[in-house]
Amino acid sequence: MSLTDATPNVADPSLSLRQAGLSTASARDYLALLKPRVMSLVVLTALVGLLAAPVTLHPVLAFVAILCIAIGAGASGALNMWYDADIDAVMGRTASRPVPSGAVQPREALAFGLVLSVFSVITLGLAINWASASFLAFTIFFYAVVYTMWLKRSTPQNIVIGGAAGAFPPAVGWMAATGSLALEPILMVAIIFMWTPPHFWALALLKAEDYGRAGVPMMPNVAGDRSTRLQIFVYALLLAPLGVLPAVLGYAGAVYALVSAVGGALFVVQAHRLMKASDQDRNSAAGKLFGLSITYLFALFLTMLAEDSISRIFGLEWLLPSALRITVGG
Amino acid sequence: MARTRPQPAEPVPTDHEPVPMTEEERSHFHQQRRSRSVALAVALAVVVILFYVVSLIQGPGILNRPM
Repeated sequence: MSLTDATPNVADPSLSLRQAGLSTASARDYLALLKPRVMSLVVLTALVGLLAAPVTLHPVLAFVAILCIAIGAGASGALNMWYDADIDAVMGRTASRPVPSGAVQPREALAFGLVLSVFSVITLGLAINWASASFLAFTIFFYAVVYTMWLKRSTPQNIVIGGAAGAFPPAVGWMAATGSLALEPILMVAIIFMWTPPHFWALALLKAEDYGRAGVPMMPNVAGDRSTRLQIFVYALLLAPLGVLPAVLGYAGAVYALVSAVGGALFVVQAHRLMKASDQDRNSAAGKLFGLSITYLFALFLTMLAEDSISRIFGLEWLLPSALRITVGG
Repeated sequence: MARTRPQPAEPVPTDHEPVPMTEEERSHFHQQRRSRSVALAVALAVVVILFYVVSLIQGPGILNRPM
């Protein structure tokens, strides 16, 4: 199509250019496809997994490993935005994403996601090891195919099972350093896995209308408000002791023990408040739990990172008991 | 006998014909394309440097030589 007959679009010069088949996406739009906020959590948890490993990688290789994991996570985000453009368009929270807003064409998002997926996996394999690269490939597949294409639109357990994809990065980081798995990274995965349902269901309570309009069977839309709040509380009860377990088993130090115990208690208290909240206070309580859940997870992993870094830099091994490390596999 | 190439009666349209744009559209288009080009250039440069450094560490082992 040519623009010969097109009248200039003063409000949005991109519109007529897009109609002519020209890309009007900026670098910022492509960055948004990578879901940078999700990526920040992936980078943190993968870094903790990598640094907690009993094998020390060369700093450049460690950087490359984290970069590949971050790019892999971003790539799966791009594939998710490509596939979910139809439902993103009808939800207020996601309507301004690059694909539904028209800034990036669906085929561009698909190509971007595929290229970065392949690049991140191959680079991790060539530069670090193929065990971690395979796990990264599986993580991308799990998020893009199992969660996005299958579970998300078919079951209210979508975020429970699909949450595994977001939980895997610490294990990938650990495997990058060691080439194998152990109980410690599996525990980190379990914490994120157990954290995901209450985190997303708090958001789903706030955005139930959006999800209903998009036809996504989130728990509040299928099981109802009361049942969701009860399930959030149950998950919080399971998460709180799980969060303390790394300190109990000797994988983390005293500061972590304190942070995880206080954070877990606050999480349970807020989940209980949400469960007991009246209908008019429900949104406020759900919003608080959503915010608290993010702070909680960042606090746990930042504390692990800080303890590990301090013990490495200052040689304070007593800060980080390393007993009971059980290595599984090669 | 010399063969002559048949000439098309009218120019064949291609995908590379410039699209007519208003000044505002042209400026916007060039601005967005420039941002993509700069990002791509930086990304490729980083990849080249990373692969080079990783090859020094993993491959020939230059950085790991005993002093």
